[in-house]
Amino acid sequence: MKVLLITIFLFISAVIQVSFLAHFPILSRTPNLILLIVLMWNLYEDRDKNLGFYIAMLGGLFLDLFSEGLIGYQILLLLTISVLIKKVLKKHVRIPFTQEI
Amino acid sequence: MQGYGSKNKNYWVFFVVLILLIVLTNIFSSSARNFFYTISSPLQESLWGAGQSVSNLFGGIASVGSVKDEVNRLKLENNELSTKIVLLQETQDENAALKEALGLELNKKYELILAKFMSKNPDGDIVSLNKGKNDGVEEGMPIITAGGVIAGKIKEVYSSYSKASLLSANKLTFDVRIKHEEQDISAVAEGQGDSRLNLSFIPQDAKITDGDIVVTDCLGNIFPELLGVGKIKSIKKSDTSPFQEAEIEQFFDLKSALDIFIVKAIK
Repeated sequence: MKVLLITIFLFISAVIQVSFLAHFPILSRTPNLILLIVLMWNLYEDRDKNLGFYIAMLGGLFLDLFSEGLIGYQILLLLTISVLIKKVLKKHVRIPFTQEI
Repeated sequence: MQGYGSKNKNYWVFFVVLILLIVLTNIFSSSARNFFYTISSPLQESLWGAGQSVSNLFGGIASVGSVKDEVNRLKLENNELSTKIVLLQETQDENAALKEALGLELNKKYELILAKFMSKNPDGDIVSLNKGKNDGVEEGMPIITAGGVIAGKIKEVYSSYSKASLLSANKLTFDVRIKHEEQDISAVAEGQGDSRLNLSFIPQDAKITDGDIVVTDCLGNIFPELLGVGKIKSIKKSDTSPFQEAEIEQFFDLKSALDIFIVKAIK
């Protein structure tokens, strides 16, 4: 149930990004709502939990579907960010207001 | 140890599922994209309209200070244009060409499909329209506004939606004519991404000024001729180069455009 709700939430966020936020460019770029969600989730989630990876994968998939070219670029990019946050950053850096290492 | 082995196994399973997902979605990318666009199109259209309204509201509030200056500037420009119209009306041929360029006879010249914008790609000047193969849309078809201004061309077509490159899409090039006084000067327009459009290959000895109107040319068969592109904004002239360059301020504004016409055929 949690996974389904997250899927729907990410899908709606992707639609908001490409249709609503497209009118509010920052330095000529559309604000990346999916990236923000992935960053926040992975920063605040426990290092041992894996839902952050699923969110990165699904968020990347929806962004790729709404873009052109090969599907997989945004998936791999967001997954890499997710892995870097979980396995590297949080292992060596204490981030304020998140779980203690 | 067992826990570690089980964790490792989970990672491998996730990795395999990921690879399968990427491969399968690429194989069936047209169907997958068409499916997601179909189910999200009502929401996309609503959000696009809402985004425009909010953007225009904030834009209006932010520009209150400069509105008075803009009104005065436009009044002056209007007076100049009124004078020009009187002069132009004396020449019947030029009047007919301007009428065409202004798109007052769009329906008589082109077979059109009315479409709406749904979304803009997060990574480039590519937009989605709510008409596709089922509506007779094909790759390469130009998209224009009701005022006869060129906006871009169809890039990819799916069953019920299509993607179009805007004029400013990276590496989109097309032939244009610069209208300077009585002269027509040929040049090439090239999209730079981020809503920027440049002119290149303008002969070094060509006399052009800021504000000169740029229209499409039919050389290269990319767009029909005499569709409005924009005005010259800033000219770059170099003694070492055989050509001048310039930036274009486009007539087409995605923020205020809701409907668009796809040119199916030229009559």
